[in-house]
Amino acid sequence: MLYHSCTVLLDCVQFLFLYFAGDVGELVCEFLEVCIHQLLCVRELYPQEIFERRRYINTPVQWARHPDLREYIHSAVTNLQPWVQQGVVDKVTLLVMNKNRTLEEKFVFSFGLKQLSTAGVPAQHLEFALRGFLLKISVSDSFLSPLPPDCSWELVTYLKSSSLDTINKDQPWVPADDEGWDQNFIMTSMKSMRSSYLDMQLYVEHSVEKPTDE
Amino acid sequence: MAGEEKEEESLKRKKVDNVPRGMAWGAQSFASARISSIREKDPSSVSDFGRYMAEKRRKLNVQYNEDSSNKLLNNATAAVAALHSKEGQIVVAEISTKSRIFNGISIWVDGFTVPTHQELRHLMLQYGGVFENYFRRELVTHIICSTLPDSKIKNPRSLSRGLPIVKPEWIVDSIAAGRVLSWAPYQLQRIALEHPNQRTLQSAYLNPKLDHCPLPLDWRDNYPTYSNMMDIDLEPRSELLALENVPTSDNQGPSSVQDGAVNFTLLEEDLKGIEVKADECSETENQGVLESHGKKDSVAIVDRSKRNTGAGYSDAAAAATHSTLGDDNFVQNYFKSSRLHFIGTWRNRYQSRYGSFNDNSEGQDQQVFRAKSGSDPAVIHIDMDCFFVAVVVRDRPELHDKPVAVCHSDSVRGSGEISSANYPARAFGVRAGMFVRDAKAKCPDLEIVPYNFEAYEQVADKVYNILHHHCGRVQAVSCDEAFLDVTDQGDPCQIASVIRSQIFEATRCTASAGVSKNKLLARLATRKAKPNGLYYIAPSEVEGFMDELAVEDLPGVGWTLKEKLKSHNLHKCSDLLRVSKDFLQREFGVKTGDMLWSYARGIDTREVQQAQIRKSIGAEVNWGVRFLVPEDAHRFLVTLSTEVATRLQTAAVKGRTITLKVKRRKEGSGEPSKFMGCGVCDNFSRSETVGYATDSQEILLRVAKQLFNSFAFDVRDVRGVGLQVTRLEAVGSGQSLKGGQGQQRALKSWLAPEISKVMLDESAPADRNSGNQTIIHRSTEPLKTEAGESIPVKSPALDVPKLPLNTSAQDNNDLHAVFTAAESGMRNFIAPDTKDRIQVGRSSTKAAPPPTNLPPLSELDPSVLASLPPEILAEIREVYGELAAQPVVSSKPAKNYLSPVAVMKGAHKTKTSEVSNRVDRREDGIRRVLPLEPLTERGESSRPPSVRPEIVALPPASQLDPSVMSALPLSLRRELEQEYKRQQVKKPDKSTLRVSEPEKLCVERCSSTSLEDLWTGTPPKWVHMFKESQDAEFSNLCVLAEHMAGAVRPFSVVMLSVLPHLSNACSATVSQKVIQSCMELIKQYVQQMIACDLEEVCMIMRVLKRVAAKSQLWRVVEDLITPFVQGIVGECYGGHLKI
Repeated sequence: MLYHSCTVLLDCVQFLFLYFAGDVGELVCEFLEVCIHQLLCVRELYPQEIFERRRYINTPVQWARHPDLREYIHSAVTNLQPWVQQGVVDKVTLLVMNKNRTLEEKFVFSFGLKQLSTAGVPAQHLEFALRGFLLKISVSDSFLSPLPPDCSWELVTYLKSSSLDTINKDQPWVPADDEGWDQNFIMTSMKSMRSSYLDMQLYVEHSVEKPTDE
Repeated sequence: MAGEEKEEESLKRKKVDNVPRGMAWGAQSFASARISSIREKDPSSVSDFGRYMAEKRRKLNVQYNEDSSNKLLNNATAAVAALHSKEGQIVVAEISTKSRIFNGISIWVDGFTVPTHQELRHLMLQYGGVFENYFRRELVTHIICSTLPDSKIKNPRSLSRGLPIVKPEWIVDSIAAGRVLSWAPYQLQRIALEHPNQRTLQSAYLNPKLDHCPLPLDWRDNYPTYSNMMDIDLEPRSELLALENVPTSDNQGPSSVQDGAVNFTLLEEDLKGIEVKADECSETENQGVLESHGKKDSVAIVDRSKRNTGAGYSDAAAAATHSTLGDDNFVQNYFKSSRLHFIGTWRNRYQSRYGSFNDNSEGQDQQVFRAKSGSDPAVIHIDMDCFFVAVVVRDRPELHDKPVAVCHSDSVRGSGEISSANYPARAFGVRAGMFVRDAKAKCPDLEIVPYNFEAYEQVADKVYNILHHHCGRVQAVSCDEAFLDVTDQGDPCQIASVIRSQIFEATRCTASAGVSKNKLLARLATRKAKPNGLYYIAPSEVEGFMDELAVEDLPGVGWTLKEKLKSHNLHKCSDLLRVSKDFLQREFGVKTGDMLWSYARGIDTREVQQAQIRKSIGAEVNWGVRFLVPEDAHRFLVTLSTEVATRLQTAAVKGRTITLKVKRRKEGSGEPSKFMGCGVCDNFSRSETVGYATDSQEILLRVAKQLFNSFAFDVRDVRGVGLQVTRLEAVGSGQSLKGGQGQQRALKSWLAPEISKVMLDESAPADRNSGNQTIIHRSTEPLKTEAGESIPVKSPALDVPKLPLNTSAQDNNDLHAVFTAAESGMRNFIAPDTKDRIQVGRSSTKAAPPPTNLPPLSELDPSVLASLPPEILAEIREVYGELAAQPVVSSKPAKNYLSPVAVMKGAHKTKTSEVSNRVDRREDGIRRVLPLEPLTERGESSRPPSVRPEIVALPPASQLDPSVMSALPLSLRRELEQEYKRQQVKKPDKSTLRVSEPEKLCVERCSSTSLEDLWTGTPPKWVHMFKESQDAEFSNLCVLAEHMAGAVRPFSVVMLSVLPHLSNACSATVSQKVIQSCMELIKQYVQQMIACDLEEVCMIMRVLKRVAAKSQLWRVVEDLITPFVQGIVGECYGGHLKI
């Protein structure tokens, strides 16, 4: 289902990106959804059996099969869409916490929706760029240490501070405390993309204790 | 033979256990599938069922023919034995002499009959008839059956497809009588009772499709003519017909027969009383035929009737006058009598009538509206009470208070659709859209009146005159319905009641009015007001009013949506208040959900809009379209395109896209049940855009033909053709209708990019400064001269002579001097023959306000010119003077001179710069009036030729259309991007802008300040710096600079690619200067990248690490830079970057 809709969408990626900033949001959210599934799988937050292989922009991705999980991710991301479109979303993070509720890892997608800048990846290369993200996620276990058992995860979105009043009562998103690191942390950049219409970065923050240096 | 018997057995069995029509649709039935399995051993192995059926029919046919020839000989024995004894004798008696009385008749037996269908088959065999095993509309002439189920009685047409349904006794009696009797008395009793008139009228015309039957030559002699049949048929019913006031020949006795045809001319007298016009919905009854054409072209009818019987061409010929075949005025007549067409063109008329008025008042009115929008809005909804009926009834007082409905035909068969019914009729449950017969069932006294389009038009005009008299903001919904915005015009109720009384006085028709604060509520109020009333919903009452409303009462809630809402247990608007907007949007879609949510609260944000701009004009005919040969179709396209062209001309618009829609009979579907209707069709449409807007019939026709041919349909299958023109532009003004305001789309704006308009605005102050508004028109961004005035840089289009723009405020003289200077300057470059032209150009542009950045004449493509429409061409001529008369002008020098600094035409840039440089050198006086390049100080004329001139005419980056950018060729785009970058850099600091960079850098490269903004420009500043540095130490970095120079790749990649060179190079002593430069380089790069591209930062640091492993210089750099980078990452992201 998703694969189908993605194919359709990507046929008109160029069109979308050229004309409607609004649809960038749509694409971003869809892409985000795929990335979250992929991250959950790669970080082994769920047993591997619940994932199935699918294809998104010609890249194999793992897609959770459990309907509730799907629904959770989908509704969370879909509800983000208006914010993304308005450009008030600063970053979307996937927090991974151990059983003591302390932060283990934090995957950060940071966005900059631009009207126009002449630098960066041309729109038609966007697909390649997005693919780069997915591939990078799928190999992220190589530079991240294994997670302890019984981790949980949640999605936290950072809005640009000025935009708190745009929060609608109907939103399922609730205000959250900033789950900060209690010590220094290390950032590993996973992928960055700059295009005329959208800047997007993915990096992961993880604690210093885990020595991951090569 | 055994196989045959077996098959017949199975057929019989099937007949018994199937519903009667199982036979007819045996192709789909289970039983026949069984047959197919039985017959599998058939040698002519059949792949699919369709083929099987065809083959089977063929075999049955062959068998039948064989049988018939055999049985003719030995009939007396075998066949008669099978017959009932009582008929047997007769048969025997007659058989030898009248053996072929059923010639031309083909029967199909449905259901249980006495005699059985088997016996009937034998009878048909013997008496020259045809017995069809499977029902096919085009082969069968009569359906034989004894009983029918109720469902079929109610809708006999679905079974018979217009064929007569006759009892088997007809066959037997006919045989007994020795001739074919009229089947009328033998019609199935119940059908005859339920539909008393259908049979007679219908049968006369629509009877058999005999032209498809294999007919022997003597067919005409044996087969009763239509007139005969009519005689027999109609006589017994003449009373009834007369009573119903249906004019047929019976009023004057049996119709006269001429050459076997009914003389329809006799009918003319009777027809005069009938005004009913057939429209596109006209039905099968020949009554309709008579009504529409009897008056107009009775001759044609006689003619047709002759053909009818004479040529045995019944159906096709019957269709002739009623279809595209044979009627040259079909399209016009069609549209003359179509109600839809009336409504459609009414809007046209309305617009042409009130359009100008609206235009005038709109701006002002809008302002008034906006200005006072603080007060409560008030909207009146006026709706005429059953308009179509009321207008007709007002002149017929005898109909007052009687149930009346408007329908195109008061056919007794009652298959016309009621388009409007008055209130007494509605009390009986008569509704618009009902069939007349259903309506009559509900209300037997229902009076059906025909349309009176002229009266409608008059009344509608009067009504709208009144409305416009009272209010400037009128939104016409249809000819009898409108919204008025009367905000701030006093008490809306009073206005409404005045309007209502005036309407009544003027038209003697009543109108109802609803008054409230928005369109939704006003419309709902009208519903309450009807009939002939006024209802006001005060803002305070809205809630209560809405709460009581059922959901289906909301406009936009149709049956489907209602059902959906009901399934969610939402019945009333008050129920809708309970649910969230989110829910509604999720369940019903964003728009619908939003609509429901706000409507339930009485919120309607739509404003009263004045005449909407129409987007398309077209005509479509889906009724009566029948072609035999391609020429028919083409003839039809001629009339259709004429119609559309007329409409375009009436509406004073032209269009660019021409769409042809074709309805093609769906494969396998027979004649449609609606007479001459389109039936089940597949729809196809294709369109073509012509180069310029047109309303010419020739072009429409050409394109339409082309499109029609491109479908490559069998014209006989075409059931409807529509021609539509979209992308309309108003005639004359050359304005696109899009958006209402209409942007100037004439030559000017085509040639000048939109951006130039923006720049016009920008340059406006400059114009004022100079006091030369008439001359300066499209200039680009002002640049400073030493005098401090801004000089708009003139784009050197054709109006080059005017390029010299005032450097100071002393105008005319100065200007004149400048002119001369410019001209003299030009003379140096312009060949003598082109000079004159330029001057011509100047004088013409002087007279009229000079147009925008026109391309030089030499760049105009003559072929394009040739294909331009005359208006545009005229405009071009005007602009270019006489030059355009000579299509090809090759004037190279002029070209150079005249190259525009077109915004998107970066390619021209170099040329212009050349020109300006040359001008600079030759004529010092003229130099400053051609400020194509930024000038810094007076006298600084030694501009290094290596410096690329700027494209000064660039619009602000925000004005750029990304789609345009992406459509540009790569090289061009890159050039533009670079130019933007450069300008971006320069804008903040004007002083750097004017210093030629290399020079400055050379001078100052050692100072630390020179290390600012290393990454600005394309290629980045440091590239020049490193390259041009005389310092030996920098030479090592040159390789890096060289690689960077042309690269669009990120710096990290570049650096990686030159890694070997870098590490080899800097081994010896390292000067502080170089280290500092390198550090700055990285530092600034990181600063630039940190916010958006952490990956690149990470990469550059990794590369640096690798270089550092081999090179002293870079090791130092790395050591110094790492803390800085980590610091900046911490600042931005709060953590440490893993490198």
